[in-house]
Amino acid sequence: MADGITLWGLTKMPAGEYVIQTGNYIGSVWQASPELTPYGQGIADNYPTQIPWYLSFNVTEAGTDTLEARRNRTIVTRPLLYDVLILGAHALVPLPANSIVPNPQAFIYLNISHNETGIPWATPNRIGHFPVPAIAGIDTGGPTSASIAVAANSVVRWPEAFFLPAHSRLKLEFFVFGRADLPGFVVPLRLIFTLLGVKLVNLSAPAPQFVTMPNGAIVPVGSRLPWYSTVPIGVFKSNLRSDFQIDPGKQTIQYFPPQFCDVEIHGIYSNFINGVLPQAEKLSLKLVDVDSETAWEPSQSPTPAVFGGEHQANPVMPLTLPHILKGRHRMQLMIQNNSPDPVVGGSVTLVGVRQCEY
Amino acid sequence: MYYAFTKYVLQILDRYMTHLELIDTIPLAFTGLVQEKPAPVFTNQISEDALYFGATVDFFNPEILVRIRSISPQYEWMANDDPLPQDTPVTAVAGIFNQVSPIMPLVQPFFIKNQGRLQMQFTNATNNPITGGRWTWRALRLSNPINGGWDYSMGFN
Repeated sequence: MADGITLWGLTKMPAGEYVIQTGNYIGSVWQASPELTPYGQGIADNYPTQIPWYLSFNVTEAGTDTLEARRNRTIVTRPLLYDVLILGAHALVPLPANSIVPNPQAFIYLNISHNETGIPWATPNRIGHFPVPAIAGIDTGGPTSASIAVAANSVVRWPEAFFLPAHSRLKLEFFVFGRADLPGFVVPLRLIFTLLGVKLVNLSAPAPQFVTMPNGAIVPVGSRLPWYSTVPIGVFKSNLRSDFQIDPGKQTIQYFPPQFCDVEIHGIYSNFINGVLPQAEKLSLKLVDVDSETAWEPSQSPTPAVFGGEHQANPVMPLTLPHILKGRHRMQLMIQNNSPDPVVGGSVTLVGVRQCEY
Repeated sequence: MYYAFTKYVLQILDRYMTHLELIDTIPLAFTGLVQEKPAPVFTNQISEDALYFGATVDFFNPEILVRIRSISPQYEWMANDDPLPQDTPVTAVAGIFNQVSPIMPLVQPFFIKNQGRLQMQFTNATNNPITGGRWTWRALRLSNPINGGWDYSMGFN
C-alpha cells in the first residue's frame, strides 16, 4: 500500500501508521467514549470554548391516526446563536400502558435535512425515511415497561459529526408506520427526541471553511453528511408505504438507491433484530456491491451476524471496515425468510457518510 | 480508555501539574409526586478548578427530565428555549447505576473554575415518579495550576 493513497478504506500515513479516513474507530457506541471524528475534531479545533449542548423537543401526538397521511410530524429547530457540532441523539419513547406493540420505536421513522442545503439524509425511495433507532439511542418508559426500558446504548453516535452553523435550522420529519397485520390499530407517537452535541464559541474568528482529513485531503466543512439508506424487507401489499412483509419461505432482492457520489458505509441497522419479532436468526441474507467485479459473498448469513438492533450495545453493527460505495454503484440485499412466520414491516438501513460535496 | 481526552481536554489538563479524582454526589430530594419540579440543585463548590467528565444516577426511570447550566461561568447546556421548553431525559446525559455502563461520558468534558457550580433543574416522571434520587458527577480536580491555569478566555493558544 503506497503512502498517503486510499485504496479501499485504509490509508497508510507517511509515519507508517494506517488510518481509516473517517477516524480510527467506527460504530455507533456512545458509552465507550464520545470521541470526535477527525472531521469533527478539525472543526472543533477552531473554537476555544466548547460547551456540552442538548436540544430536546417533544414529538408527542396524542391521537395518531390510522391514515398514513395523518401520521407525519415535522419539527424545525430554532436558529441558534452559536455554531454546534452534533454528534449523536437519544429518543425517549414512553410506552402506552396497554401497548401491544412489542417495539413501537422500531416503527417510528425519521428524515433530517439542513435548511442551507436541503439535502435529505435518507435516500429517496418509497419509504424515504429511516427508523429512529438507526440514529438515536432508545429508552422506553420506566421500570415497569414491558419492553427494553433502558437500552444498552441510550445514545447513538452518528457516523459523522454534523456541523450546524449558527442561525441555520434542521428539519426533522417524523413518520409513524402502521401495523399492517393489525388493521385499525392506532400507533402511538410519543417521543422526546434529543440531539447531543458541542456548542462552539469563538467570538474572534468566523467558522472554518475547510478541514484536513487524516489522508491529507482538504474537504469543505459541510461536505460530509450522515447518510441513511433504508429498504423494506419483502414486498408491498398495498399502495401504502408502510405495508410490506416477507412471507415464510420467500426470498426477495432489494436494491439500495444509488448516489451520484461516493458514500462510506459504516454499519447496518435493522428493526427486526430485537429478540421480539419472529426469529431474526432464521432470516438469511447476502449483501453485495453489485457494480464491483470483486465484491461478492460466498454464502448466506443469518441476519444477526450482519445487522444491529436497538437492544444491542452497538445498534448500528459496524462493517469490518467502512465500505466505499462508488457513485452510481448499488448495494444489493437478498433476504430469505426461513422462519415459519412472516416478517411484517421489517426494514434494513445502511448507515454511512456521503461525500457528495467533496 | 473510557473517557475521551480530546484536544480541548488535553489543552486544559496541560495547564495543571496535578489531576485528582473528584466524585460529587448531589441528592435530588424528589418526594414521589408526578411531574414534581423541586428547587434546582447545585454541585458542591470546591476551591480548585475542575473538569467534569460524566455522570450517573441511582434511579431507574428515563422519564425524569433535567436542565443543566453552569453558574460562573454561565453557559446553558440545554438549547431548547421554547415558551414551554422541553427538558432533556436524564438518560441522554447520565448513565444508570444498574446498566453495563453506569457512567455516561459527557459529549464534551466541561471546565468549571474554582468556586463555580453546575445548576441542575429536575422534573419527576409522569409514570412511576421516584422518591429521593441522587446524581453523581465524575470529574477531575485540577491542582497546582501552571501560569494561573486555564480559563475560557484562553482558547488553544
